[in-house]
Amino acid sequence: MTARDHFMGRISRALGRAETPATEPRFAWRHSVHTDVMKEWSPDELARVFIEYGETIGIGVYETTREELNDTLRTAVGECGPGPVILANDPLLSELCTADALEKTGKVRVWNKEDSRENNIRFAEKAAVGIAVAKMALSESATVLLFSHEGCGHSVTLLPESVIYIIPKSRIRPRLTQGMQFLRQNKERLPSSVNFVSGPSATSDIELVRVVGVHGPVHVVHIVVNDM
Amino acid sequence: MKRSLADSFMRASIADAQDLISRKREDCYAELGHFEKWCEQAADIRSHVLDYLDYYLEQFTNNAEKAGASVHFAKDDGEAVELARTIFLQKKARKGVKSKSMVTEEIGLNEALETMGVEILETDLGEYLLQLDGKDKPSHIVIPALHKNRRHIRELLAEKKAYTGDETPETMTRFVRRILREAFLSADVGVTGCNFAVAETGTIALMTNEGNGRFVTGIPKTMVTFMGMERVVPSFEELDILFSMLARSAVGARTSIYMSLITGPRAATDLDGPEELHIVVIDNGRSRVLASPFRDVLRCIRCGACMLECPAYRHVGGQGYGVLYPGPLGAALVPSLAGYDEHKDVTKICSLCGACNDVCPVKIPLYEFILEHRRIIAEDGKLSSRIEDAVFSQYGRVIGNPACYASATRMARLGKYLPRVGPLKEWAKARAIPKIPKERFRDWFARHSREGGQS
Repeated sequence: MTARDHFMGRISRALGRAETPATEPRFAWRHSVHTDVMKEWSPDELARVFIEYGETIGIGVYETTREELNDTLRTAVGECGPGPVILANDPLLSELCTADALEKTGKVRVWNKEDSRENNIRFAEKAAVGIAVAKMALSESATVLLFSHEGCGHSVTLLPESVIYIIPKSRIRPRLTQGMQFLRQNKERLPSSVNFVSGPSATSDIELVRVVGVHGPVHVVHIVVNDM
Repeated sequence: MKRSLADSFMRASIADAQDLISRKREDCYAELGHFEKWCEQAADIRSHVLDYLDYYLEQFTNNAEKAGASVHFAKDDGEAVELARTIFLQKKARKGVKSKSMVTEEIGLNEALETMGVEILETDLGEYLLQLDGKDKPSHIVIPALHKNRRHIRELLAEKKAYTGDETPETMTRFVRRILREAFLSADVGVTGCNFAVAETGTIALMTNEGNGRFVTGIPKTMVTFMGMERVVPSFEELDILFSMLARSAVGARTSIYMSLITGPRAATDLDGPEELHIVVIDNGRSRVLASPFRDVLRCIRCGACMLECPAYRHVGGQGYGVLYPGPLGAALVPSLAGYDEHKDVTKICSLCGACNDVCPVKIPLYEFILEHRRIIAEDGKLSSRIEDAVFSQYGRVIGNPACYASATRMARLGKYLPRVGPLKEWAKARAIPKIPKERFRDWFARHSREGGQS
């Protein structure tokens, strides 16, 4: 018997049976309180709460259109302060030639799968601003959902002092319930790392005083793009 | 316990934390609505998982392995640290960074790794400060350095890290950020605990506010996760409920700032993320609790709300319990997990007021469990008289203590607590319990003093 068999056997015996049941147990949901939150809200209403709540937790918010996204990005990058920019390799940003548009304001590098792990991490660590596109966004908690993939590693949204998330309005859903349903629907193609991020990193560990910017980004900006 | 009681800063800061976070928590749930239904849902999920833990843990293991993780099993703390040492040896790792984890404290991981020459750094700000101090212990499971004030912290950073800045939390946090950023980038191994493990996909879910959870799971080449075996949820849909409750109950926020979901090591095409992922599943007494009448205590999601609601915790602080898990949870869990022989005293730090039950997001009958532990201890022939004395003397301390008595009677006035108060029940055999008036004398007195003493 392996360590695993012993381990599982101990649990089964503690539960009063000889071995692990063969059939999948079914969990019976008693309530629907989670699916009722913001039920049947319009995209405008969802975007409004996403923006308003984001502002209360210290996120800088811009609203723009697809046509004006590059201009808005230039403004937002400018407000984050000087320094290089690291950009996710994302279809939306490629279509809009965002990297070229930003080159005019300073040094830009796109997350490069042809280069080494070390070089990519080193550049992200030196970058002042990281830019990525949210896979989905959650209205209730001003959260963005990020998938790590070859075009955008953790480092893009983790290492720079400021991070800008681009959120197509059509991707704003009510709450974590919809985020989790989305992950479940994609369970066969889940990336090794998925992150839900809600604003700048923060701590209250010293005398319960809230300090923004502990390990991750100090400034977080949301750019909501009206694509509807 | 005496030492804890002596520290007036600690008591004031715990009282502040209780008031502040409890208020935020109540506001947060009021805004969400249907608190009772959310709790029932969460409790149902946790009970269901415990009833089928063997099934879900098998499913989790199969799916985590399918995603490329190595899953290991440890029946106790000794086996768990041995597995950790083997992994560190194989990777020739000299430096680890760790995000906050209760189960690694439970097994004494840091000490075991340090004896083999590995530097293991705590990266949660509060835990980092405690580690730097060298001999300090956490006072709360969510806010570990609650008992340290800014002057202590400035002196500590100055002494150990040549810090010369001021004592504002912002400046000191900024200073620690630089030290730990360097550590994240140079560490060989990232060590994490596990808030929840998703059976259907083999995913590890980790919640942090500071972002250290993302660093330890994203930057080092090897990641090692330690999880209590009861952390499993069936799928992402159940995770939604538990995560929604954990953030609200722990710190009174709609969400934690980061939730990282790790499913196996990085893909061949990913540039960052761990190349190797090890998951160590730990029993360490949990199967014994599972078989006992105290099974429901394993529903716990480690939010710490019971501590922040507890009048006894308010008084003695987390360190006063002398065990890793303090407060009502500790009093209910530790004797079940680790036995009565060494841990009977922890059940005494409780006035049996029942406030903890009302805030528990997974509806653990904490108060009943603590009382039941006391009954079992008291019924043990060898111990009985000594323990009964101890229970009553503890009760005497509560009664003899103005603040504690004030909160106990404030609650008794709400009507529903009185019949549950254990020692009162015994005491009441000989006398009639005084009827508790609708308005307490001290409230009446305060009101009349304010109103100009007319009565």
